Amino acid sequence: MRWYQRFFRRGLTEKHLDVELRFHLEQQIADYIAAGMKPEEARRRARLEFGGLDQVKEECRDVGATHIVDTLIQDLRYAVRMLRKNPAFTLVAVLTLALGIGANTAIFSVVNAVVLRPLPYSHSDRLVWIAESIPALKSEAATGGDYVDWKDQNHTLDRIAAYDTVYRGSLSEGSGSGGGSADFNLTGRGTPARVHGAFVSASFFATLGVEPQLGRAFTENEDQPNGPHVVVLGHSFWQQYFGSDPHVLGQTVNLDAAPYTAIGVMPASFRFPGDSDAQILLPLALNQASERLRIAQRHVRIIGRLKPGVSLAAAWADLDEIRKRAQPSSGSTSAEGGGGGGRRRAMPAPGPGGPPPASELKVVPLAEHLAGNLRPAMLTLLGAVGLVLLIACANVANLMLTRASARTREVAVRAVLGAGRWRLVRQLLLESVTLAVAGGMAGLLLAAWSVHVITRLIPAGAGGGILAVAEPRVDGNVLLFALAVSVLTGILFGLAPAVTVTRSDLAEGLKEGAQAASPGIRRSWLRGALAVAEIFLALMLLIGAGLLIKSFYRVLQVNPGFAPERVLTMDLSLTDARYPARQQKSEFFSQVLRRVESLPGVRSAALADSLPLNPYQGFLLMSPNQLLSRAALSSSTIVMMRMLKVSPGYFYTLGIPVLKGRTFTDHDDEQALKVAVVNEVLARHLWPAEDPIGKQFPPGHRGRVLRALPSIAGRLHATRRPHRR
Amino acid sequence: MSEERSEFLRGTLDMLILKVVALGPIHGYAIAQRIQRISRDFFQLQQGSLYPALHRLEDRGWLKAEWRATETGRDAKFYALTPKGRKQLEAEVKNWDKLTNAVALILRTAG
Repeated sequence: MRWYQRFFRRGLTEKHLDVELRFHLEQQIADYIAAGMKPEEARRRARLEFGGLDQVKEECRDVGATHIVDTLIQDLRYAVRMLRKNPAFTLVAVLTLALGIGANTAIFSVVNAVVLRPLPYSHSDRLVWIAESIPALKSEAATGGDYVDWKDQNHTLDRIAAYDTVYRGSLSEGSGSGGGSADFNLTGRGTPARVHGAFVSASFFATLGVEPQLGRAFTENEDQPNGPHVVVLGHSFWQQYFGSDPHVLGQTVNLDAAPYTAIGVMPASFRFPGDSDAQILLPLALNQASERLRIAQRHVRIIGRLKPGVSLAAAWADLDEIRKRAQPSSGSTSAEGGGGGGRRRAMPAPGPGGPPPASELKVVPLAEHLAGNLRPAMLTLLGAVGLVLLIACANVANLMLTRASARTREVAVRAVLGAGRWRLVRQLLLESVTLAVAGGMAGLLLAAWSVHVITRLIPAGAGGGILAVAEPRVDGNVLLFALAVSVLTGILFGLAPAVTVTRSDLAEGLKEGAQAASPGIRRSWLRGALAVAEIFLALMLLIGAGLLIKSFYRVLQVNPGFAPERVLTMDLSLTDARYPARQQKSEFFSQVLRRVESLPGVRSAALADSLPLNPYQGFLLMSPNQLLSRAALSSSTIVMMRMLKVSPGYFYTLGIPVLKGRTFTDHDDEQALKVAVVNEVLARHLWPAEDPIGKQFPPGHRGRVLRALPSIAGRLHATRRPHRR
Repeated sequence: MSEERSEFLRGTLDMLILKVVALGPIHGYAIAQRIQRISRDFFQLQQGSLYPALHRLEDRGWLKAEWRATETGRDAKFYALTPKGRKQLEAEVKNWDKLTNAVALILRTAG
């Protein structure tokens, strides 16, 4: 009989056994009676000669129990019984393991989302992120011109799409390619709201392999400059502002006071492949003709879908070839003197001429791009929580060993009764695995809860983009991981105690009070080793944590150049439709500022077009020949200056120290002399030996010249640190 | 209790059972009776211990079992030797002969 038959016919076998043994007894009794014995006596004698009925049955069952499933079930029952008998031990062990396994499972579920699980797009392994990266500017985007060329000429991509999450509308008089994220004022649907949008090419949907759940995607005709005002709604937007109205198609959505027609609704499962989710999608409307001639230079983000079987390297070579072909003759790149109208490879668009910063083509899997530096960070964390689990293992193993001393007698008795060593080891291992699985289940609950916490703790700029696309959650992979970790953990911390206990001297173990006897040399050696391992692991963790804290402390020690304490920020924008003239806008803002300043509890208030540390700041680019002093600059350097436009109260409100000269006053208005405040670093850079106050400052930018330099402010760190809005 | 000795006794009981069953299909009670009668009550075996042995031999494929009616019309489990069991019996008998011959030789010459 096969073990599985035996397993399923267990009940039948039991009945057969019963009938067989009873037949024997009854036959014996009948024979004795036939031989002249009294029935009472016959029964007694037969019983006596037969031996313990239950014991015989048990032994017969044990024959079948050489089959693994039967014994496992038996042992499992025994293990659960033993654990229930020691609730304190069980509780401590389960909690310890729950922490260890829970931490591992939680981190793993993020690793699973970031590294292992495919993105929620069809054949997402073929999706690539294409960018021209300029390491010097830490910029990763591509020019619209290259996008158009790639789209027309490539041989390696099935499809290619461009998108943009930077709002261009307010850039008309901006400097540099600053701006902000594509936020729109939504009006006409209850309270006006700010909604987050993205501009996408018509090919965006097919490239990702997603389709609107209602209506349709953009057509190529709609994806043209001055094309129709159409919008595809995100699922949550549709729910929130249209109450999931199935007749939403054709209705009007007012964005920045302009009417757009809703033509589609994305499914709930759709995630925008960027740092944050886009609530609405608008046509990118790239001016392809002028981009092709490199007259317009819009910066876009590009996603491509590789043809089946095409490698990243092949795609890279193909696209790079096209890019090189479009580049002007290679000699002119080094020519100085700023060929303003030339085909520039430079990234920041309307800057002055000069040699462009070198850009290199990057083609990486989309998943990798979205994960950013989250991938190594999560793997490191996984290592750290792995150590925590090992420590938990060592702790529980120690507990088990302590308990094992008390169980020596029990084990010895079972061995004497005929249990083989392997059986005993397996029994003890099963006990520890049961313990670990219980801990694992508790840990899973812990993980399911903490995944949300972890996800919220990771800022979008640190590769958190992928978390918006591939939300970490407890799925099949995670369950499997938790189970595997639990079982392995159980074996890991159970093996040593099991082997030592069963190795101990049986005779010694049988003596009354053996548990009081000193533990064997081997066992004390093992406990010593465990303690050493534990201390070692804890030390490693401690060192790691110490380094982290030190880095964190250093980050805190960095003087950002302003005092962020008790400063609140708010974000608003005015639409050109409602406030067409500059004058109207500045009146509105002045009024807002006055009212905020008069609020009780507000000490001071200021306006700025961006915040410190915000990567979306405007900037000025200057080549050396545009600077008055070249002394400090080598001829190939381009100076990039981040630029903020601020109201007079800015310096006081943010606590920025003024080292020299004056800050702005209300008299520095439209009509006044153009003035600027520079920071210490720039002043030292441009005028190393001179007094910067009053120096001319000619960026040659749209005819506006900042002529005077009234002051120097303290150093302001304008790093590309992510700023959370 | 020494492992070897119990192993030895168990092996002996197995051999006796195989030998008795080799005579034809037979149920447990009859096997016990026959071993006791033939050995003239030399083996005072605890009758219950016969059954784990029977089940073990069945499990190893040396015996096969079948439910049939006895002469008195009751259902009983009848054991019969399989070809594998017959080979095992031959091997064990051969071993046993060697062992007893050796022991006998020692007893005679050392006496």
